Amino acid sequence: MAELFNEHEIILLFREESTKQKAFVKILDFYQKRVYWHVRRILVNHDDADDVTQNTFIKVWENLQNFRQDSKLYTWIFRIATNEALSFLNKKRSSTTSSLQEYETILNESLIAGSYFDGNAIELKLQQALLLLPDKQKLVFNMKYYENMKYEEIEQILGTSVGALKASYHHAVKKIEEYLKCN
Amino acid sequence: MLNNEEDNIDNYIKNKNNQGGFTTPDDYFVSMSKSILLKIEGKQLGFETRQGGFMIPDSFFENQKQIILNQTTHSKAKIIPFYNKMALKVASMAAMLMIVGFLFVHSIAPKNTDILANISGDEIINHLEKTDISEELICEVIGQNNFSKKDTDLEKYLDEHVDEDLLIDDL
Repeated sequence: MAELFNEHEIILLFREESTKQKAFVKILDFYQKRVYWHVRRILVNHDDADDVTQNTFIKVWENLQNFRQDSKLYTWIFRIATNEALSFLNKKRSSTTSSLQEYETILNESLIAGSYFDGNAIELKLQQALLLLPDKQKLVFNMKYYENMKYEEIEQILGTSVGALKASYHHAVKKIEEYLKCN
Repeated sequence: MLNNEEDNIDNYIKNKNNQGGFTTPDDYFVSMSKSILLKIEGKQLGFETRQGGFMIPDSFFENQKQIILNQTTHSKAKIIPFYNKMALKVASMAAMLMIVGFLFVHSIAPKNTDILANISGDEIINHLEKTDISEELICEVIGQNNFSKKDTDLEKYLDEHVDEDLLIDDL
């Protein structure tokens, strides 16, 4: 039976030195996979997603003591993960601009090469279409389509209004449909 | 014959799983319960477990969990934020107290001019009478280096500048 996760209780446990480690292991057990997949869909590359997931949880460990509970624990963790992933992505892009190949082209090639990707033809096409989207639209699409999040939750994580998120999702779906029709 | 039929029926009843002949794939219920648990976990946060074709290496999450724990809870080099150090807080407080104390003492300490202003003329005269002041010291204080030490010069100076009648009256 899956153990229920009471985030308020976990935070209290984390603030006690004697139970801090136990609380962190629970957080890790509960969020590690979700954070990894969230980051993986942003970065595509497995090794990069691994690095960013590790950094995210190290930041959680270092900063949870000062977490003011203005938001839910999981939106706070996902905000850290999203920011870490986007800054990582921007660093990668800036380091590859000297070459003629754009970073997204490299990622597309890695998808085709099948390094840690076993999706069928449709899934491959969908991922290729996602690589062409602006970061914001890609994020919103992933969080809605794959992670099935509510707009209100995405709003808390990305700090964007629900209206703007709906517009981003709508544009993303349109662009993906066009890409799938043409390819 | 009848006994054989009864045995067959018994065996059938014992072996049948009450599914009316329907069967399931091997370990179906084990994988189904895993799948349901995953969905329950996912539904708690509104997630689903679609991964869009991405793969991960075997035992990846277990290994990653261990790496994260090694870098956080098991880390020997404990991360202590600089601003949280008690010693630093105490040192800062002590330095602040010293500065405030110095400024306070300095502000209430009387200046030399204030001390002189509070001493009456009579007190100064009494003090000077009791003290053996040399001519050199007087020269130094009044800044007249060319002040002559010769008695003849002194007498000459007194003749020119001191009113004898006034001096006699004073004495």
